[in-house]
Amino acid sequence: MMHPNVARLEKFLDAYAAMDGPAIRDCLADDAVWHVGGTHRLSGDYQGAASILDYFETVSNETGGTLHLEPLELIANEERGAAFLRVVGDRGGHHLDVTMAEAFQFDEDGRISEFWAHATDQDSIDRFWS
Amino acid sequence: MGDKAERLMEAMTLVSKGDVDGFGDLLLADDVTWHWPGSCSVSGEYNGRAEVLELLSGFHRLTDGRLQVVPIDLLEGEDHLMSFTKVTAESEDGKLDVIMADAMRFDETGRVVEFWTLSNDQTAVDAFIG
Repeated sequence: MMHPNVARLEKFLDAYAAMDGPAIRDCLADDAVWHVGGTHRLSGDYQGAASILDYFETVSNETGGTLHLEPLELIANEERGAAFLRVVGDRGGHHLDVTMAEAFQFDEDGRISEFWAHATDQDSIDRFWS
Repeated sequence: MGDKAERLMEAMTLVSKGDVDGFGDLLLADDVTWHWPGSCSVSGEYNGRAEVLELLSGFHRLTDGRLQVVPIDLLEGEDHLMSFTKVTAESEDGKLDVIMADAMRFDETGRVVEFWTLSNDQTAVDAFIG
């Protein structure tokens, strides 16, 4: 049977696709931490839901809403989740098409409290945001 | 525990005994790719079983006896698996205390064809490995 936290991951990804701020906020713990890998100018740790929402908004604005996340598989249990996603987008003449492996930690209310990830091609992500 | 998790556990037992080739034969597809993040000496992409086994041997030499790796969770889906471990170490340069997530995609023969290593504090891992 599908764990409820898989549905929570789906809800988060749907909210992200729609760039629905309040719905995204509902998925995040107040003190959530978002680790963005790589060596580009958006890389680093985003602490707290407000800071994470600002980061998502920056990504959406800079890609003109072209960034698309296609879930390949979502897995979760009570405490943790894994998302395997194809990520496609365009920005300033750069085209991005990578597969991400993303790790999630949930708090006791099923909200995302920590996120970290890695891509099949981190260099292309670094170039995309250069 | 499903087939993929059982195979991973068996392969980890082999590698813990120093049988890196046995680990490769059991778990890795011939055309496996391993994505290692960050900017340390092992960061990059490794293509094919021979390159991946060289990475593993090199990593074991680099960290020999210095890492405490405690499995904390395992998420198994249809095509993917994510294994979470708490990795700690102490050295003259300080302490390492991170959560690693090893993400895997399996082919139809039940072997890993793509492998991502994820850390919730890549900067600390980079500094430790050097």
